[in-house]
Amino acid sequence: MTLLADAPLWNGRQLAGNWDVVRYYALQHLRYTVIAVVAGFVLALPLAYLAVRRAGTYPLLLGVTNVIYAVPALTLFVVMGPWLGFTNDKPIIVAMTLYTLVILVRNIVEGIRAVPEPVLRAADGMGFRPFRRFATVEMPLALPGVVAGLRLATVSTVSLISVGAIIGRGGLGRLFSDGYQRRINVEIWAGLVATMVLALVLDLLIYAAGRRATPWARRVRGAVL
Amino acid sequence: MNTIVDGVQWLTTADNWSGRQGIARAVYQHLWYSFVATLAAMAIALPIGLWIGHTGRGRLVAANVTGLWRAIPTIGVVTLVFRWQPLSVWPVIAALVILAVPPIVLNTVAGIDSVPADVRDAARGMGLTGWQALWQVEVPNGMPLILAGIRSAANQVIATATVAGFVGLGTLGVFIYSATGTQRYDIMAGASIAVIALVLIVEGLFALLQRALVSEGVRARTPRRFRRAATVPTAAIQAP
Repeated sequence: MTLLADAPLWNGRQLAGNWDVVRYYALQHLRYTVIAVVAGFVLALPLAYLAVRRAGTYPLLLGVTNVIYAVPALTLFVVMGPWLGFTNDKPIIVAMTLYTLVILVRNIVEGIRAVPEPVLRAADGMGFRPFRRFATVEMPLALPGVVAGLRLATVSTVSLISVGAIIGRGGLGRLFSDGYQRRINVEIWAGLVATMVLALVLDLLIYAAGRRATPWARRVRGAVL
Repeated sequence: MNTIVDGVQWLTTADNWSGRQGIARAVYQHLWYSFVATLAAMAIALPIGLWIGHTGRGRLVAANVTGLWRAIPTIGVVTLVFRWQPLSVWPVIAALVILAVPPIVLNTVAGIDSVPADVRDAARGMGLTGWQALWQVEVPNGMPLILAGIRSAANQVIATATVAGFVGLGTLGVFIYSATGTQRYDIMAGASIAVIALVLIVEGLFALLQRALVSEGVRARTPRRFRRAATVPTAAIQAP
């Protein structure tokens, strides 16, 4: 395993005194997650647009993203190595970006498809052109599904980045590989708990943002109950 | 591209298939772990999902718990259980079961939810008990989504079972891990292709299973309900 010069190393067999190690890798983990999910979302939008406009491409898109998801992470890292380099974290981020597509494309498309037909007809009747209708009518109304997809993609990415540990990288995953090799159980536990806390916090943040962005959804639910 | 061709060549060389280090044994281990883990996950997740769907209770708790549950990092579980029970299959099985539970629970709940209220009322009106309504009405009607959940879980399990190679427990992952060290990219490509092939084959088997298990009446109206009921409120159910 490569030792990064600036990366702090776990000291001893206890948690005390190692908080800076946890923090260092948690921040790295956070950075990778944000980049991967944002990049995945930016990629997924045009793909979803395509799938909605040309329904025939949807099964193909689902199939391809599914196959990408099935490619073992390690293989993706190595495949991208020659282009992105073996000694940095770009392959991990790119692999995670690709993995998010299978969740994001599907959720965006299904969210858009759930927009009621009369609403679309009304938009057409008001003279909206296809792209404007997509951006100002379909996307906002699809937000609940999109937010659900983002939450799922974020949580899975947080959990998946750890596989970078097998090439000596990958944020909190480092604590797993290091704890495994040096037989420090506490370090593995710390990585596990920190990963879950990070996922929980990000999940809650997106959930809260989603609620703020879709006030109508709340109102409707309140009315029904 | 060349690497892929080399990988196919490695896969199609008969000598590579036999023996203790052969592909055949690795595929067998891969499928066996996946099968056991998926079955165990079903045994845990189906009762929970059916209970939540049928009673309508605990839905919010389930949604949140499964959300957090998904955050459990597979490699972390593998290494931790390995430290505790080294040289057994437990590290891999435990990690894969944990991975497979959330999609099955969520999709089972969504499947029962997707049964139209009037159908349920009709079942009640005909005098079915709760138990009878669950097995004779709700499960058959929710079957497409319940199966989708199991399929999704099996997919993820097979794609992830390679982590067993990380702790020397076999599966196709062994080739991938050892090939990283020895820089045998043909082996890495070949083993990866084999993993993808396994996922696709199992996917196909589930399509057949779907035909066998979903009653004709339900199948006829599945596509639309799939779209409507499955996605909007709990879009999260469609796991990768």
